[in-house]
Amino acid sequence: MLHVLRGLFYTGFCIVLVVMLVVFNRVNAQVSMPVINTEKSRLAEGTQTAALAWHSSSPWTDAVTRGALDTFERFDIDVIAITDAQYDPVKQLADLESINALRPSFVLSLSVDSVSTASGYRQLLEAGTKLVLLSNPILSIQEHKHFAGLISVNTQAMGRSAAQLIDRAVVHTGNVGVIFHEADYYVTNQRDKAFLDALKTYQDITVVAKKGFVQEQDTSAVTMAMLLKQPNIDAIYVSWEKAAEGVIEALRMMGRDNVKVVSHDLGVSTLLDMAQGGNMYAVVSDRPYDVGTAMAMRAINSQRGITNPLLKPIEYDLVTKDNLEAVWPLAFRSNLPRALQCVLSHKEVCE
Amino acid sequence: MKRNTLLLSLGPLLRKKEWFVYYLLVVMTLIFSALLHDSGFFSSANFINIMRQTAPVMVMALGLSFALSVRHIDVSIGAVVALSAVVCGLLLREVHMIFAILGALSVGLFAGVINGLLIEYLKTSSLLVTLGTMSIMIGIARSISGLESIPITNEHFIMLFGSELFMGIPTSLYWVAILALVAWLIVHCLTLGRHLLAVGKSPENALQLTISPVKVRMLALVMCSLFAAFAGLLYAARMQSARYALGEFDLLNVFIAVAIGSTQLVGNQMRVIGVICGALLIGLLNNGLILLGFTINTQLIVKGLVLVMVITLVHKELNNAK
Repeated sequence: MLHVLRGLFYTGFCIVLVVMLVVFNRVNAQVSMPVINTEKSRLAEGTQTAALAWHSSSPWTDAVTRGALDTFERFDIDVIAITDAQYDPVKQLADLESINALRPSFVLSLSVDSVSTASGYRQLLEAGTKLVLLSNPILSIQEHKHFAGLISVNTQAMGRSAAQLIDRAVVHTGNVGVIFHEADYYVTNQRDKAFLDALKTYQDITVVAKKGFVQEQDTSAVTMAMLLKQPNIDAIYVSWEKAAEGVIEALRMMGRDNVKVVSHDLGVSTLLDMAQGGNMYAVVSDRPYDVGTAMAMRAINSQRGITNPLLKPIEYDLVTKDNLEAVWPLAFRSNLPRALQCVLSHKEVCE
Repeated sequence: MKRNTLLLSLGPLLRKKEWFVYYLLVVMTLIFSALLHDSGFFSSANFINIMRQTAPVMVMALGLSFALSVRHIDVSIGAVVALSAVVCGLLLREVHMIFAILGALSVGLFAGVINGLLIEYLKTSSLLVTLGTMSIMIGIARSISGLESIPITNEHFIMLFGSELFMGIPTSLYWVAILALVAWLIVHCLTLGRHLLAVGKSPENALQLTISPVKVRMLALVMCSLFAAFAGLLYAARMQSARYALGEFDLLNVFIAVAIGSTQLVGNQMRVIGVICGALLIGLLNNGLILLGFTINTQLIVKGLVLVMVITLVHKELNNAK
């Protein structure tokens, strides 16, 4: 009898657990972004639904999500699932297959790997879902009638701008170390290549060291090795801001406050360093909220049969300590984080 | 009176701790079916999806059970998956499919033998040795793949190991069934199975029974790596590509599957069906939580809670049994 009661207790525990987590998830969702309607799917009659299948979670992805959610909300389209593949193509494929069970009208996604995940996207397209991809193209599905398009940031111009910022950082003359993304990832590879190509046009700037990384946490060790071999480096370019955190950490440990860092995208930690006059000199940032809006609009227009919508190209900004406060709201459509406000307002203690 | 008889007859069933994973599977299915009644969760297509997604984890978990049954922990299985898939992908470009498959399985065989030799003859910790070999194999996989995904276009290979349907069921599931049967036969019908459990229970007693614990443990490690290499084939066919990072993220899920499916993690036991159901439960949770609209953070919390709940229950039962 005791065991029966114990069995019933654990069954009850499971039910309470799931109910609590549903509530927790909704409260959590309300704090960060609009409510995800989990009740409706395209299986429900006549309802237009959308799902977002991202590569990872970050403030940048959150801003893209907010842009998409706000746009879908304006058109009365319910967002029924948001997934995060954590840079794992296997998980992204599973996410896409699970999303397919909900039969959404639209899917917005950034592919982790254009080869491994292609079959998952193909399944969605075959089921009649309109698909919009971000940045990383998948050639094998682009001709499908339900493929609504690829929204891409201007990687060439962003790479060129990063070279321009390096030029400013070293005041037109100096030695540069490059820490580039070595894994096969279209958008970062394109940006890094554009940067290196553009840097060749600056005759008094020399690339004295070039090292690749695969995982963000490797950049600290890479920076240390690079500076031990080439102590005369004046500035370092690194592929994106999260990877730049490791570079700054290494520079601090080595006491190299004369080395300036240039990167891409906005992140609170690196921007704090920039605001405090640390190693972080500047970043090039696109506008993720606008990216989300553009993706959602592309999907909706595709449904309406508008194949060549007149969308504005995604803008980008060159961000330094001087314009950081103005650029953040443009990029994220949210207030500057409190920690950055405190540093920029020069308040010793921020209440 | 009738009700009391029913409860009394259910009592011994519910008391069996090894059945807990089945109860949990049924309860979770019922909960998700109720919560997701209008979203396609309770459909054959979705269940096939779950099985298809979980197939490589099931195979890895079965393999790991061999190593754990003799009290060895093999954390290199994720790297074996990646390396065998990459080797298979590269060989498929050059040679006949059969040789590519054999090449991939050789990776597993080789890794198992090396792990076994280092652990058994140098008397070193299995955890530390497999951490080292994991790093070596990841490095090799990255190096020979050039950090790029290797596309696999061989239709026969994809059909044989991938997600193609044969009589309405993905081919990868037939392989899971075959490998589960092989594992079950080894454990329950072959002398090797009895030796595995004897060595896992007490190597000293095994010696008295004229069993060589070293050989048995080495065989267990080879089986573990071979199963992981097979999971690499399933992944390569499912993804229609081979990537250096395949299997890298699966270690936690594989350990959870074995922990849920077995009543004790290491030594003296191996429960084939339980482990399969443990892996299935992970797949079910992943799928159901996505369909419920849960964030990745909440999904991780739920998985952790389920694991803690199961372990707590099993430990309690074990303590009671003492």
